[in-house]
Amino acid sequence: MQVFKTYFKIISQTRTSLIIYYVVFLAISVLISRYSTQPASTDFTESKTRIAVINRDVDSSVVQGLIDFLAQKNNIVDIEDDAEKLQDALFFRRVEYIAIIPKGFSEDFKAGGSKPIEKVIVPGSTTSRYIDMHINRYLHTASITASYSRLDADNQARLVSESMAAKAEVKMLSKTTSNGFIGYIYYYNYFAYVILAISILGISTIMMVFNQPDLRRRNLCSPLKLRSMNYQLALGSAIYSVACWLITVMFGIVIYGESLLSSGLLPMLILNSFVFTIVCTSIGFLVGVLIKSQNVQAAIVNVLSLGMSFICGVFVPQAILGKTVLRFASFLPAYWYISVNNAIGDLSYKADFNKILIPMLIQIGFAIMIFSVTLFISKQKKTSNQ
Amino acid sequence: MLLFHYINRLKCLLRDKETVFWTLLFPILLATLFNIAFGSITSATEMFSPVATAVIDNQAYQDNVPFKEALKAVSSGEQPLLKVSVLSQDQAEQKLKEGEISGIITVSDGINLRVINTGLYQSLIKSFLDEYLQIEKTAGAIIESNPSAVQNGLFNSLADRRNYTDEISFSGAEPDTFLAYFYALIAMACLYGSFWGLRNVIDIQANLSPLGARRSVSPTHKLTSIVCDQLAALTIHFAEILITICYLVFVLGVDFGKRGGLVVLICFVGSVTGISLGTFVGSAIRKNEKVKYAMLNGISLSMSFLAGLMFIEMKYIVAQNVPLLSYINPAALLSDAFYSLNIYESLTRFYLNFGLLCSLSVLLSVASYMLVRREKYASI
Repeated sequence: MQVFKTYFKIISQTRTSLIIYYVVFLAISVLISRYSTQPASTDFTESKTRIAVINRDVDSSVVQGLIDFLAQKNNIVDIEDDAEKLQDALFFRRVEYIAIIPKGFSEDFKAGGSKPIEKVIVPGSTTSRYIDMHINRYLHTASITASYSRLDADNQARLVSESMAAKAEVKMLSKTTSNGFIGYIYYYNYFAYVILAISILGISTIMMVFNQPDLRRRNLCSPLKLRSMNYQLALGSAIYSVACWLITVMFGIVIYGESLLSSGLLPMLILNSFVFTIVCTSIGFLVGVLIKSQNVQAAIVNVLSLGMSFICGVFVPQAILGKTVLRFASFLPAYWYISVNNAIGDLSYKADFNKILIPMLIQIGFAIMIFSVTLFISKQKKTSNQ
Repeated sequence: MLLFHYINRLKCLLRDKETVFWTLLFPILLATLFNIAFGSITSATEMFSPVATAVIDNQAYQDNVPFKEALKAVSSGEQPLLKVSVLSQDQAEQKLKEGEISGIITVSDGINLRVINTGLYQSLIKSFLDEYLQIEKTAGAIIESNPSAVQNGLFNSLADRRNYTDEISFSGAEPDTFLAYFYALIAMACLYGSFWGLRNVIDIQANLSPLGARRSVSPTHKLTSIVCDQLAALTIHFAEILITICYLVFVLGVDFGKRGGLVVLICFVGSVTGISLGTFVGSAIRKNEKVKYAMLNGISLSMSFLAGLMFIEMKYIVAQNVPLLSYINPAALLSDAFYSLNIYESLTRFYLNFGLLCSLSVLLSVASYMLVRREKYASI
């Protein structure tokens, strides 16, 4: 087992760089999963959109009533009346709708004029339709009440706010909702990025040492069989990846503690992530056989880890990726890993074990295939003249 | 003499074909993948399409003519809100479970909605029902206070839906969030110049490589060799960035706004920053080569992450909570420069980013030169 032992000697020599990578990747995934988590609920709650309301008019009763109504139905975010700040907020979707009440709006409204509320939106978006409905509904009711009822201003305002309270009854067909937005599912999705990057980086770093031309020639003329050497290298890589996997899983338990442990989903998430770790090991092994320089390593690792993560739905949920993209992504192992995670997230309200088992088997298929290709290339390189 | 050094260094770096190839191909490949992933995304997620809804076909529904009319009104016209199908109880529930429809409306004593999960589409249906019920209530209250309202055309006015909003925009550019991913990617590609910078340090420092040792005993002034090395690296890297930008603009159709000259300028400054970052890390960190590469990769990844490469809101979150960080993070400055060129009319913010990037590069370059000049070794 000389090769195997050497493998770990190299790891301990390169530990500083591996630790740097590991900390960076883990920090990234923890930060994203914290910030992109949305609370899940078991009762129906109306969607609250983040909007900004800029009042350039006086605080009249109609303006105040409108703002109160919008505040009740949505989350109003305070933003200064400054074009650049508003644009920033809309671009990064801190708000999805900016309503600007123009100067002189109340006067005009009272006189039955047609001065509109100005809105800055993402053109054609669903949220803009939703907020439009709220604004139109409030102003429509207010204007009709003003022109037809014979009430004084205070009573009019009361009538409007009372009738605005009318609500349709909503029932949830099943009491539990999708876990898709729960933090730990996110964490396990980002796990794909972390383990891909760290396995490929770590394993290829070590393989590059073994593949230095002179060293490799020396090893090839030793009595050790190529196959045995490859198996020892693979074993070393497997142990390295499993260690990374274990640390990441442990870290997830530390962060999400109670909620993760009590959900009952942990064993399945762990199993799935383990299967994916095997795939990553094989990819790392393949990359290690192919590359020679550090610069190239950084480029390839980023293309593989970031590219696969984007296409397969790690950073952007699979649900919103286009159909063609997903069909393309299904040729990549991370797609299957994520789809199992999503199925696990949905488990509480529709149990479908085929959606979990089959993709896992597909992942194992990927691992076997990539590993065989690696062995083949390694054999080819033995005979080639480099 | 300068030219001789420059040309030879250029040759040296270009002979490392694998590195040239991959540093160039890396942003192009990633951008292509981004493009595939985001190509249809905005329309799929944010763009409105009528909400598929079912109404249970029962006697109460058939008898409720006003509600039928209201449903018809919102599901037809130029911009329908709902896509209504009238179904039996079982069919509707089946479709709801399969996710083909977002909600089921049942008319009995009152009107209620059944859904399977919470979301914007479900809220839209609810909002419509609320509105219907509310108008009934409003009409009742008005008639109570003024019975003659009916003769004066109350119902016509109620049915007459006006639009009280008007879309304006601060500038011509559409707020397409996905552009920011590409901006962050270019920022990362610029920072990748740090690998060239690192390579230069390794090849010139006597304690880092045999080549460095050889060059240190040559009579050339260190400043001369450093400047020529850096210029050669800059030439290659800047060319790579320009090719990437061309690919993004002409092949993928990413919008960089109309100020092409300034885009090229900021790319140039970005390349300089990237290379000087590499030089600085290479000369300041006294560890082996692997650790330096790992540090650089780690630094450029974290910086790009904070500039929104993996999760676009990150840039905004950082700017809101730790503003200082977004002023010293070159990736954030670069992506912000591209962003402000495209979105804003005024160039104030662009020049702020530009100025900060320039100062950062000067700072890093001077610091690295201080670190590598006049080094003497008792033994190597």
